[in-house]
Amino acid sequence: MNTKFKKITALVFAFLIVAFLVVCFFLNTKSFTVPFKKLSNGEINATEFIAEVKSSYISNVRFKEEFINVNGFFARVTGRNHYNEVSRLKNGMLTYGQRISYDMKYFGNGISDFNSYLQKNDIDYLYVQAPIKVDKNDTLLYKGTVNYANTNVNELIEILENKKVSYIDLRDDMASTKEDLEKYFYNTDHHWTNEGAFYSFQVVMNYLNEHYPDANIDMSITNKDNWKTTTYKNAFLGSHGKRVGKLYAGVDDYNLYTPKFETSEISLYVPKYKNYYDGSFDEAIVVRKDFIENYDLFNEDPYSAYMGGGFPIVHHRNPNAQSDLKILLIKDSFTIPVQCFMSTAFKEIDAIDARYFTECSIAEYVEATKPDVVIEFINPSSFAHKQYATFGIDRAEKQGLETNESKTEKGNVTIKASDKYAYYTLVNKASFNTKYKISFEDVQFLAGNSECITVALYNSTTKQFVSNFALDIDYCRENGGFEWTVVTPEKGTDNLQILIYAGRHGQTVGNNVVFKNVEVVKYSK
Amino acid sequence: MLFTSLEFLFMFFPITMGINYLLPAKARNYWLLLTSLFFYAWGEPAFVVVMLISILFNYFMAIRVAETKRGDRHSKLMLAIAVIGNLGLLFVYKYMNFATGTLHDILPFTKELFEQTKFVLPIGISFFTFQSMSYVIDVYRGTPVQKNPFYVGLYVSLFPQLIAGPIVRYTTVENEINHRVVTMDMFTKGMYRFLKGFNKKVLLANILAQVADYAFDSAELTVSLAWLGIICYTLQIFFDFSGYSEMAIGIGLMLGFNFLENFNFPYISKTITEFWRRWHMSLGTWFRDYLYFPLGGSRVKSKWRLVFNLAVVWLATGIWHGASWNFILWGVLYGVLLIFEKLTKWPEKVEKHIGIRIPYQIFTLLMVMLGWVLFRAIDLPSALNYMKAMFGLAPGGFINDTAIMYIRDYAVMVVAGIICSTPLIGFIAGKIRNKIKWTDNAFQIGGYLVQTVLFIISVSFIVMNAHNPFIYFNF
Repeated sequence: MNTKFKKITALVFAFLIVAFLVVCFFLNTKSFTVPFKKLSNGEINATEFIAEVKSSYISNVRFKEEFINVNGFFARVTGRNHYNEVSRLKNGMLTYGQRISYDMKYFGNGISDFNSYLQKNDIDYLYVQAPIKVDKNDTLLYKGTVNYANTNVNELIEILENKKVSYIDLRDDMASTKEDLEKYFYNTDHHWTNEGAFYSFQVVMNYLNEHYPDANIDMSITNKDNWKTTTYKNAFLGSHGKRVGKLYAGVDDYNLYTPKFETSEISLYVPKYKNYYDGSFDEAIVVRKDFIENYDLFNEDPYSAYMGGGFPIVHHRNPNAQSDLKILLIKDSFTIPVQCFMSTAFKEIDAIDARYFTECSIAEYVEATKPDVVIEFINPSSFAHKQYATFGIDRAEKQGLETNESKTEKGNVTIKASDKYAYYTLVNKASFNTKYKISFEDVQFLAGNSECITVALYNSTTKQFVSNFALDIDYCRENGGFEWTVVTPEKGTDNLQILIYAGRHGQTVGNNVVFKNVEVVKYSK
Repeated sequence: MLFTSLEFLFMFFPITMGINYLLPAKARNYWLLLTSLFFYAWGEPAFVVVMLISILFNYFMAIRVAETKRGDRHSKLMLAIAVIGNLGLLFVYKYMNFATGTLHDILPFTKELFEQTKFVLPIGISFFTFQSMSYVIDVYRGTPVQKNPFYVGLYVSLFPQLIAGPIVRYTTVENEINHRVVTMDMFTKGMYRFLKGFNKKVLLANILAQVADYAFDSAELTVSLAWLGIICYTLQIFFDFSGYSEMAIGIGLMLGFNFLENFNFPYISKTITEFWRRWHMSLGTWFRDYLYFPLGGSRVKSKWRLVFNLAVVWLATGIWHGASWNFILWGVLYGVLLIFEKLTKWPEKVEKHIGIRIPYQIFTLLMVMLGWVLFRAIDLPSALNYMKAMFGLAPGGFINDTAIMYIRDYAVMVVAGIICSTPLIGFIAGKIRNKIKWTDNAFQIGGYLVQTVLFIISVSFIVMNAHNPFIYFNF
């Protein structure tokens, strides 16, 4: 009996393992057959075939998420507080180590110089320090977890104090204690929650209201009672959680904040993808609700429900907002929900992510757009990116020293309808290292329609756009006309053209447009 | 190809085994030869030619040796050619770079005469050349020669033991090459051994390696981290090597081959002599049978001859492991210790006197661990610095936050590793099974269940090693 029992259990065991391997074999055949087909067709050689099979198995293994969860569970059970580049805090929340003590003098001096540059141009500057998910005194870190974030911030704040740069350090209110972190941060993501973002929104709005009493800021918008919170339970597995699985530290709830008060004609333009949204806050801002509602924990990112995520530059417009205060945000991902909340209060907000913005230097952008206040709002991990302390002031100041000005009056420019791209070349063979100001009185659609027109700097040699910008027609009409400044790259030999499109770039088919009294002013040194 | 890779588990292994069982018995050897060559070519496409040349060379040399009369000059000449050929191949690919580099260091004028060579080491060359050489030597000693070159090829290149051993003697598998049967009992035992080896490798060796790697790469070591690092490396190398051997033995069983055991809980050894009877047994017996005994072994009249024989064997053992002074010194260390034990007959004394046994057992383990420092360090100065840190002679201090972090994070795995490196679990299970009869079945089920669950976790590690999403996910 005993021998029979042993034989049966052995058979069952062997069968289970064989079944597992056979099922895995059949589920993953594509990882082998697809590269094999390429090898048979001569598209790849043997060495490339081997590399492709290996990488294919790695990227396409079935049940990967389940394996990640199992793995995280094992790490948890065996007492690992540091796993797959994720660290546990003493309260169980996940964070990451920041092993580099950055050159904060570089940051501090860069910010200070930028502040001075802005002051010379009558523009205010505010530095907002978002907290990181470690308490201010690092008491929640296990011994051996290296995290210089607070040390870096302390050094930067000291420099800003000495240099008399206006700043807000949100750590005091939002990351002093364990309870702060649990209230304002996700367990499994490096970002703060929308509660945290909303709190910082309130702080910044209070600051702006205090410093710009004439800006007519509607402070009722900062009252939480005027916002609706929709809770999605267990909907968010953050960046840390995706590395260690949901059995390591759980799953977060996601609370979506949307205004109870009426919003309309809000627009959001993302130049990188030429995405334009308009309508209410829900329609124009919460553009990727599917990221939350799909509950696809490993593949979706609910944090990107607002705006669809982070982009090099986005333009918020809200003609119905009370305040005319023109804001330029220099930001990272922490600011995404904050800028969305702020877009209900201000007519015009441009938000630049300095890591990815390459159209021109930030100082040149300031030159071109003349905001009332520049707010730099970043978290300590962004100290890894020197772009947040490098503003291209030299370049902008050189632009400001132009001595020669030549104006070309083009009169009315008509763009006829086309079945491809309807545009007009305002400047052909544009000079390098030169500023061009494009302006016109109005635009009239004889056929077709669009809510904006596009001014673009185009490299006809490489057939690539250097930059393009959409001017909102209604906004420009209400604010004194249509004007845009194009700054060409410092040097090169390619043929540059300044184009104007009869609508949003890529959506001009059938548009017949007249631009009234077009002027091009060239500033050269 | 690694056993612990997804393409092996989900592609090569099911296909190879599945078709093997479907084929008639006569075709299976050819199928296994083909898949073994494919297995080797997966990691070393160019060097499969080197292995094939080695196989053919040894095949023809064995036939030539078999055609001659054992002991006569012609026979010895053929044997010498075979040995020189195999060692020559090994020397070129494994030792030439070291030799030319060392000549440059010792005799700088040689830099003008030739450049240091840059040969790339074919994986497993130490194993398959020794295996091939042992085949020819065994034929010289009277083992019937294998006339089928494909069968010789299969013996040398059989994928379970090709790249990491155990070193299989031809006589071990001779009958099974010609005729083998796979019973269900063999299959299930083989599967169990494979899983056990897989789990050892992935869950113990690979995890403990993280601590060892950090410690050995650390610029400023504390005493505690140095000890933690070497303990982890001691466990890592055992589970890595024995895990692979166990997987090889398991796959062998599933194919109908009975490979010999390669490890037998070496860290419970009471003496160095005992350690080498428990560690990498296939290598130890190879050197014993093909070098030590032909030199006279311990049955020599002169003590100096005995010392010489041991010195040669252990120098060769050190060199076999790698082309660097670290390995040579490692071999010399064991040579010195074994000479000491042989001359003083210390092992017998240890057996008789318990008062000596425990301290000497600790000393044995300490020597083994110091040997592993030599083994793991990138060069002699690094090894020396590491040893200094172990004994508080380096500036790092006793303990720091990093050491505390590693101790805290890896304590469970280190304890698990220490327990699994001993026969403790089996011993306790055996006691309970003997006393309480019904637990026999419970342990059987429990054993299978545990290895299955651990296998799933191990596979998750293979998947995870490739899972590294950008930490800031889109930002």
